[in-house]
Amino acid sequence: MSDAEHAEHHGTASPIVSAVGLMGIMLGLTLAVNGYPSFWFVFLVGLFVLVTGFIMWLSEYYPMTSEENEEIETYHPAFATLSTRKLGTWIFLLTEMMVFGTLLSTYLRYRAAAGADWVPAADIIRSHLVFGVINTMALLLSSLTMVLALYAAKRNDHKATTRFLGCTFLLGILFLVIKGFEWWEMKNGHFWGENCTVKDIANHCIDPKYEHGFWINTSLEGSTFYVTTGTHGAHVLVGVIALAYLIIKANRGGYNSEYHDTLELFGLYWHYVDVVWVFVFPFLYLF
Amino acid sequence: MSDDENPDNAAPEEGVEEEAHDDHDEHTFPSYANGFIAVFGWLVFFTIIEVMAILQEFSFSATMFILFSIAFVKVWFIASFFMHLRWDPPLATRTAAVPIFFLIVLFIAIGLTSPGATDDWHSVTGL
Repeated sequence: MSDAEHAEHHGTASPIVSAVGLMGIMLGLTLAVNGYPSFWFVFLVGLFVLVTGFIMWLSEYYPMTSEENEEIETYHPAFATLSTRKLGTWIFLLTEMMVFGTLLSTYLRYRAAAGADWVPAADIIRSHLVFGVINTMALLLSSLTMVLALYAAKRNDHKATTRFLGCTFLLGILFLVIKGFEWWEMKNGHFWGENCTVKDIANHCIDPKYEHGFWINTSLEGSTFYVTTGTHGAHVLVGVIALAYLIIKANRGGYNSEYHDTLELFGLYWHYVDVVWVFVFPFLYLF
Repeated sequence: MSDDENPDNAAPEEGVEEEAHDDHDEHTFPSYANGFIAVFGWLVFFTIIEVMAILQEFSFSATMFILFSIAFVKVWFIASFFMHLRWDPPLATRTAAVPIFFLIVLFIAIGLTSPGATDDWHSVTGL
């Protein structure tokens, strides 16, 4: 790669712009909800800057061929077997593993300590478990369609690539819609008293503390459930937004046998979201 | 012989053109969709096993063991085939394996134990 091409790839301001925007969002939001309402302005400015950085990034990447298989600049041969982007993606996924590991272990810690006092969300969900199963199948199927999209790109079949990416997108939307419906049902349900809408296997209402619904501030069970599933849902939402960009670019033949690393790397993220659900579903929905 | 060089671990190639890769990226990507569909089938199968296991209502420890075991099997399928660690250089697998120690500490040492937590449980949580 020539020096001019190097400058083109590494001379972008979008990362630092996005980072500044994210800093403004975090700072503004944290202070605004803790008694300093004037910081909502900082939050909005940060959001605007983040969106600007994101648009800068998209506009730079959309027309160009990406830095496929660029070598890691290192003198140790062991690190030269993966491309820079792929290793960077895996390192990002490591941080995500720690995020969800923390959330799930927190839930397990509270549940193990509470013992019989813990009234899990699974008791409420059990009567509508079909939605959780549909969500699980949707995510597993979306992982399949994502890998088939990559396979189609490697075969220079951009129509099939677009279709498989479209299927992945629709399955992600299905997942989010069902999750939103589940949340609405649990928040607005009645799980005790004369009007209880859900009963357990023994045909009893669930628990008095859930008489007016099961929400994030109802109980410890609620907060751990909604924070964990909400964080996972946010990751699915980000993936769906990214898929929209990939579909647009795939439709114009942007991914082929020579240039497909972006699909592969996004696939790693999407499969990781599926991996997280592999743990979330049994531990929060089934048990 | 490393996993990457072992011919038994090479993905089968059924008359599909080789993709253009740099010299240091020598893994063979699976060239057929049937394998991935089979993996999806296994994932569905294990999901069904999970749901059936929960309906049996075993003890807490037995349930945790069953759910963790099935989850790890499913993760292996996804990581090995969909995330194609099976065909990537060992560096990718070793990188992905880095947090395993910390996750074991989080899940087992912290998540499934509660030293001293039950003493103040009711006053802390209101349960």
